[in-house]
Amino acid sequence: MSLIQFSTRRDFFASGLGLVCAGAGAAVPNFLVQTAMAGPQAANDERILVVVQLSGGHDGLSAVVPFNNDDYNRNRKTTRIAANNVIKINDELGFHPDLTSFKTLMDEDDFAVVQGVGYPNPNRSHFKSMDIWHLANNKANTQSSSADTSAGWIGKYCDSILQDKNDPQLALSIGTGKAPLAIRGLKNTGLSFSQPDKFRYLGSRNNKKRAASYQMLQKKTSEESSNVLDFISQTSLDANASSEIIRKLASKYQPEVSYPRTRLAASLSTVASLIAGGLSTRVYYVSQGGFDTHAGQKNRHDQLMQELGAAVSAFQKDIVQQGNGDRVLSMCFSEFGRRVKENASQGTDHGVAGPMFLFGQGVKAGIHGEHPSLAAKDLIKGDIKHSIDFRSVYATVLDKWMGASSDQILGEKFPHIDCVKG
Amino acid sequence: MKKTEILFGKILFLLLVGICSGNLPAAELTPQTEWDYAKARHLMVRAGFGGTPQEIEKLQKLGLQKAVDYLVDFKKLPEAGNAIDVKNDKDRAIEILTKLSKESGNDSYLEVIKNPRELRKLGEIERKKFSRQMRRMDSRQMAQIQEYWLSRLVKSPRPLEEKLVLFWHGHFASEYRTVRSSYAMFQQNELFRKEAAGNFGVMLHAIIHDPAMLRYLDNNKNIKARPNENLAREIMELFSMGVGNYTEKDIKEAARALTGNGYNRQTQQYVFNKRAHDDGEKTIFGKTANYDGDSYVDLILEQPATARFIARKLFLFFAHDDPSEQTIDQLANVLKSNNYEVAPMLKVLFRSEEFYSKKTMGTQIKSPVQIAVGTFRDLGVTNIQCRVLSRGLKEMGQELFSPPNVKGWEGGRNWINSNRIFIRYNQMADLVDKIPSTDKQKGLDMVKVLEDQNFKTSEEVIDYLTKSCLVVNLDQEKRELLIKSAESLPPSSRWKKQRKQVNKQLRSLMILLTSLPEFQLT
Repeated sequence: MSLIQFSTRRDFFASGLGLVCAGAGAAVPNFLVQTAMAGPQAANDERILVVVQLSGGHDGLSAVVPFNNDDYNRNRKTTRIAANNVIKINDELGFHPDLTSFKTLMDEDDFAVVQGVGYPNPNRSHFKSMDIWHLANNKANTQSSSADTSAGWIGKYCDSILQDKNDPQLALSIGTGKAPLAIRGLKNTGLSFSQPDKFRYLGSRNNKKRAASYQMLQKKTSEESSNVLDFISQTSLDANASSEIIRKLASKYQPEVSYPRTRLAASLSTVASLIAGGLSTRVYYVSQGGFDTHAGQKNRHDQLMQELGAAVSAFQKDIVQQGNGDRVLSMCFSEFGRRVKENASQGTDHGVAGPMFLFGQGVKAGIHGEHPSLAAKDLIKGDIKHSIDFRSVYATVLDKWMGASSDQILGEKFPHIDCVKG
Repeated sequence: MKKTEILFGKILFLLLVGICSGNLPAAELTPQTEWDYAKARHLMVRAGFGGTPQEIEKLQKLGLQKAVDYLVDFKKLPEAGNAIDVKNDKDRAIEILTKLSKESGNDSYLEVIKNPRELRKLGEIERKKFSRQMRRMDSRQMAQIQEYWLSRLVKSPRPLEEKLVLFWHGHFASEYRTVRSSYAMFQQNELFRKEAAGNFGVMLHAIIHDPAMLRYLDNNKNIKARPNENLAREIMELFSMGVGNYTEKDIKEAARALTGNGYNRQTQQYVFNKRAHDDGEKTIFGKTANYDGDSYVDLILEQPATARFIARKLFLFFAHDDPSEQTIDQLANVLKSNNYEVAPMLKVLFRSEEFYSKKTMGTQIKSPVQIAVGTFRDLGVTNIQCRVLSRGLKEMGQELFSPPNVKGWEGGRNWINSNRIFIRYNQMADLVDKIPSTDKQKGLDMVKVLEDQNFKTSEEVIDYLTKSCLVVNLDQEKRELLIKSAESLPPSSRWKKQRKQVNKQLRSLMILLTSLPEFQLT
């Protein structure tokens, strides 16, 4: 036993030894797994990226408000945020009144806004545009992308650091529904769950014999195993190998800051618990939904900003208090911004470019890039023209924060944005 | 010797196809010639949800041609027996107002029945009470409709009909959460059933008159003064042509064509609001005329992209996720040359070699509906209460009438991630162990499922169950493990005496079977 080195739980299980051990009874495999895992679990000082997805198309103009801009004030009759309400960043821009935490973080040198982010030939479909952001390429723009087997940008990053060792926990997303395409790699499938306490197999409760058989049956079959069966087995092995540690870390964690009672805050607090517990995860992925504000935008968006601002504030405080402030960087994006001119239903329709937010001690604080012009002559079909390709932001984070080679992951070289410290 | 003959035959055939295809319309997919139990089961599972070994054998005996006819020409078969009485919003309002008036002795409720405008005159408390009861009763009715459809999915003698209803529900996705009228959702479900293997053109026309869809994609707000692009966009992007085959300008113009297509909120019936309709000229796909909704749909049906888009979507749903462009062209031709009748295209698909190829058989990840309904169909279990099934499907990510968004369920590998694999395993274990039957028993009556088979050993039980439920050959090690875990099972002749105990053992076995990675495939 001691002669065999397992770098991760996945190797351990995939070797078949985990299955044999698991088959022997409840107490034994845990002990063995933990022994085998002791190495990589113990010392984790790697840098971490947290991605916050704002789903539905976020109206960036209502978050980083150009309050002195005539075009803004003219085009936004009901969704406008008045100059005396914004939290001023400079003479032209101010944060939404519920984003005080963003301003505080910026004053502490920990918050950056990258303005006018988008991509060429913008797609105004939620699904296509989201795929483009997730796959970090424009090929998703064509009709028959077989998205089912393509890898996301985070998945590709994980594949690139895996080499021949496997680690199911490298990329982890929190949320219900399908897992984000972004974290799916070709080798690393990415882990996801909604609530840590429910992340477990319950089919063998009070039945030890069945529990043992269950573990054995998850094994990959060597012969005639198709790609898709391999994918299912691998997903199951990853889930089974991660279930216990995730439940344990999440349940024993007691943050010193109090989180608001929102879904985003709950997700971020789980992320904080896993970071504190030293999980080997390099990229965490969480989402906040509801940004598709076609009608009656003002109230809805205010509420969203309130939730976002409060959750980010609690999370960032928590991370710093844990002593992990210097190794966690977070990044918010949305699949597109919204049209400059509001519609007849006091809302805004699908647009193009929007701001990205980055926070953590690793950022170069402040406003990056020009605020896009809202003058009619500068708009494309009524939408803000992008000035920064989102892949430039990805490249910056991958190269400067994660120490990766972005050109290999993104397929080409994108100029950096000076929003991350070296 | 024989192999070379076959090979020679194949080459000859390909040559002939190659020569002919120059002047004939594109050839149909290569027809399937061999036929066996595994293929019969594959057909039954894909063009339906599954069936017991006895049912599969019957289908096998029909031969491929007749088996396909039997499944596709389902209108010749008896309908599922269950019916449901669904009330529209107006009738429900009358019922609630009458009840409220009786309970409170307040006659002003009755005034509202005579004239809905009187609602404003009710006190705030009364009004709130009324709308709360309306909502509550509507979600109760929605649950009943879910149960009604589930019961058809599990029991209908026309499995392909219900499978196609599920397909169209995912294709023309609408969410009850947004539509907020169970009656409208029910009408839409009936539309999908009426045209299940019928005519796509008829369906596309019907969908722009369908109150649930009009509400879901905001066409009730699409009026001349303020066009709303939502329906116009999704019709082309998701329902008929796919991204890349039209311009943003086409969307704007099409939205104008659709202005005025609305519905009555009380009766949930289609209404054309002439005053809201934009009567001017519109230019769509380069053609200019005074288009309305229906002539816009006619334009879409003329586009070459449309038949291809629908053929591809049906292929992905029924076969596999990586078709060649040639395959799609061929199916699109069949669809187009039959004026968008779906049945002829399905017959070509179900009789094609590609449908029975390695790429198709056993490679599809079961949808939650497939995994649950298929299991009951494979075991021949019909006496379950479908209400409980609804909850399980919701957990697994496929609640009926609640697709995640207008794109419907994405399927494929999206059904599985580390979270969903546990949910699947757990939900299936729960269904096997706890689903109530109509005779108030808890859990599947596995003894009843298996007792006629006259098993002597646990090995026979395992082989029968894997034959019933798995499309992938189970590897020897796993098979032996299952046999071992069932070793204390007595021969079936003794089951009656120890029914309860044996049922428990068999269910335990079934739970293990459902938590196999192999069980997730079909």
